[in-house]
Amino acid sequence: MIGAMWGRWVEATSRTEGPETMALFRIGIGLTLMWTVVTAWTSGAVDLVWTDAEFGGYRSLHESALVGWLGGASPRVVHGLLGGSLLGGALVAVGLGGRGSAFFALQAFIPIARLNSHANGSFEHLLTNALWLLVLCRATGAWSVDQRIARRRPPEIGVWARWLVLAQVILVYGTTGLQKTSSSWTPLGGFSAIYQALRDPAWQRVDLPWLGWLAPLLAVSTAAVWLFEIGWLLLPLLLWWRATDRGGRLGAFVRTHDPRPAILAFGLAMHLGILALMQVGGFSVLTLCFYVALWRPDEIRGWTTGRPR
Amino acid sequence: MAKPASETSRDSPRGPVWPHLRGALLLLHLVAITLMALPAPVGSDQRSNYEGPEAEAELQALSDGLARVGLDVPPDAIVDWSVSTSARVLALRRAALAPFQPYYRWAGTRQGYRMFSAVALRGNRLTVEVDRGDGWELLYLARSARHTWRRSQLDHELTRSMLDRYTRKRYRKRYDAVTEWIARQVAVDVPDAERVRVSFRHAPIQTAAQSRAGEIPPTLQRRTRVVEVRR
Repeated sequence: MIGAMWGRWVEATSRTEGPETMALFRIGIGLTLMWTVVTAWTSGAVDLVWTDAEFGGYRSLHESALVGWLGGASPRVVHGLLGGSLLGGALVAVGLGGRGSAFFALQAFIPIARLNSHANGSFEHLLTNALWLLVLCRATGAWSVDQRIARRRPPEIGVWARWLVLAQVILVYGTTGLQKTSSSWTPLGGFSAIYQALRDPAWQRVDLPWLGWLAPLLAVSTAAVWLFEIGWLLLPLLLWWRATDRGGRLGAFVRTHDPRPAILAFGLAMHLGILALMQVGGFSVLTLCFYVALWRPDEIRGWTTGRPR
Repeated sequence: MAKPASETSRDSPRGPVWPHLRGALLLLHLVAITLMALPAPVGSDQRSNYEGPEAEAELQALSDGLARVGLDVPPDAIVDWSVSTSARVLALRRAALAPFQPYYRWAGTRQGYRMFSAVALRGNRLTVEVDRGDGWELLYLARSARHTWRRSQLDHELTRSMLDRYTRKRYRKRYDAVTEWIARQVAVDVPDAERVRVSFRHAPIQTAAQSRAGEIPPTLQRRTRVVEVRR
């Protein structure tokens, strides 16, 4: 039994497919890294949160071994690492240097992301996760400088790379949803979580004192967002039903009614709303990059050539 | 597992062992990121995290909910149970994650998501005031369109994340360090500054009903700290 399951796992992880999905993911992640670095740099927040007290910051920063080895979080070291991250992000986005550029970007950004644990959001971890996935797979097989230089047919890459991207985003949403346990996410608290989050000065972009008039709509949104996040845990099942003839009537329904455009539409609405109304950095754009893995490379190739599959 | 027509199965050019090794490594990766992301009661093993109006309201709501199904569990008993259970769960989690720590560290695969799991009932807005010798003048008020001194720096999400944390009592020393840093920046930008006052404007978040009625909840100044400007 275990031997048969292992055999199926090895066979599944040995399959290959075109590189287009991972190439799009790579471009999105590279650009998001660049955006993250540029906004931190130009805002001046770096001087406050990522500079050691010895060099003009507000506290001692000893949380990164590499930064300690380089002589501490001085402006020279921190700006050097930010420059490295920016260069790495640009190389990843244009697809120059293969996995090496993703590794370089990752190793430049990890010390920055770990420098001050009092000043970060969870999205830095998701960004380093994404960069690691780009180290693991050959994401420069399409729409890249590497591919232009090589002048060869786009290579086949392991289908597991796209699965890992999907696994990551399923974990992000699923575990986030499971941890929304406060009463404001439930009828006990009147599904008031989104209203309250949008009125919390810690994260709001601008205060919206009239938002109470939209409370019923926001209560529906609160319930819908929670269900959407938890619902990602069912995605593997939906994708499996679509690829097989299993699942009974529900399976037949998802084969005739592709749920992915609806998932994308809801995710876009939610994340663009967060982007417009809350200041949480590159989280929304970064998370949306993962959605690309919902589509197979042949489908993406179909859109770009005007021949949908 | 079903294979779509767009996927190809082929023999590994690296020999027969590689597919098995790759399968094992991929499995390890999935186990590592799943263990890290699984919901965990991080912070729930510390009694100080059950203090404050949000936590007290949650505990009372839970106690009331249990009472409705015939269970008499006062909020204090819920805290005792939660602290001890969380400590046991977190010890188990630490043991499970220990073998993967080098992987999390070097591959950047650390990921745990507790985003907006509990939303705030009260808000804090940082204020920075300066005294040039003739009274306090507001330089910066978080989310204000008028008082915008060093806004891009203080409004950035990294700074917000830090300041949100420092509204709590146990970060008093860190907060004091930030106020010293702010005073140094004021000294640079306002040459005739004599004193700097930093505080949080603290108020309950307007409920939806208050928002519709135009009622403004009372505001308090908290964590007020006055720093003499040194040149």
